[in-house]
Amino acid sequence: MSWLKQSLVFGVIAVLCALGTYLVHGEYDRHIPCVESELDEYEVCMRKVMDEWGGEVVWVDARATVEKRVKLSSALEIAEASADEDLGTEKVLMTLFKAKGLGTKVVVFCQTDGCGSSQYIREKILNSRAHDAVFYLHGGWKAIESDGTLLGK
Amino acid sequence: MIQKLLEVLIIYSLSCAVVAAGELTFEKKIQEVTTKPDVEVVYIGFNFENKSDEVVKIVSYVAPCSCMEARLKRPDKKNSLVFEPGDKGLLIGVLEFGTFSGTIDKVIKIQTDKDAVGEPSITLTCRVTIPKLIAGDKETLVWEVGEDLEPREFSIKVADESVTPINIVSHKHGFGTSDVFDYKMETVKEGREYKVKVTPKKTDDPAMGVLKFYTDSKIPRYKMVQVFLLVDHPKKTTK
Repeated sequence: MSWLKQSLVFGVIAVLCALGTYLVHGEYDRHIPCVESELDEYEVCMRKVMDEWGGEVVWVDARATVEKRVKLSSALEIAEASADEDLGTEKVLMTLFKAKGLGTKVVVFCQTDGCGSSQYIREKILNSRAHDAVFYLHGGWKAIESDGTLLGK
Repeated sequence: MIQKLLEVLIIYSLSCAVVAAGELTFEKKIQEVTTKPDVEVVYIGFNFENKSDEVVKIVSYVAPCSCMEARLKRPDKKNSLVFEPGDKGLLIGVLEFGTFSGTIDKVIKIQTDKDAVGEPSITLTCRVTIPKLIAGDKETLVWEVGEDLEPREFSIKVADESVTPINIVSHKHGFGTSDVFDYKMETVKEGREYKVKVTPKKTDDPAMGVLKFYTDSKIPRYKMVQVFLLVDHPKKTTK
């Protein structure tokens, strides 16, 4: 058998294996892995927010302007670089304060789990006392994107 | 006996492989920097060397925060991410903070060809402190619902390290809470210290507001100081 035929046979076998895997396991899981026992005290998984809390939270977008190609229309925006100005606006402060009265939790997200901005914004909100049940999302915007529910996917 | 010897040899060779596994050695993995008050861009460098006896390739070096850019330089001027034993390099975090002041940590994550995919083994931390030249000694004044209409005070002070005085040139209620809170500002020392007394007009319902003080500082991050005002039910934790 020539090298070309051999390559073709191997290629077909590889495609059949890939197809079999797809049929057995379904589409590739793009969800951001999240193990609750490995998280910080106030870090939360996307699945917990959507399943246990029913998605009924106030979202706070802590991403920088350049990162916001797509936005959550319902999210409050508090960027790290202008946190004081953003937090001091009527819309942001009163939404947080009303949510506190209603017992609705707040979840802050930034671009990824390593950006650090959501922890900083969480501290800012707590210090203002506008709310006291503030969490930050493991995986940040990437977790929201991969879950897709909030983006209507 | 021969089997035992073979087992020992295999374990020995495996342990040697682990010890000699290629890795980059950083002089420091956390760098703490205190900047000048008017800083706009901060550069923080991390020196490293391949002290192992294997070639190490950097697959990626990423700063997850958009406020920071990661750059890689080599003293040998080679344009390569492959580091032979003995090769040295410098990773630089370039940070921009807008109007931020205070202390914050930002990280750079480095993945080498020795790491599992998507699991960078090296994390470098830039801990940056930008001095607060002017700030209130309290961030929020709190009254409980039903409490007496007692006044509370806070001070706004200019730090000693500020060579020039910073004057408060105007102040106001951030938004419609003037019907809930009354306040009076008094100058203790022009450009250095101010005292503000706030009295609630009513405490029968929860309310929130903010007082904003604008300064004549030429540095954007010190142009405004704000203090929150709150009438609320006694604090309870929710989780």
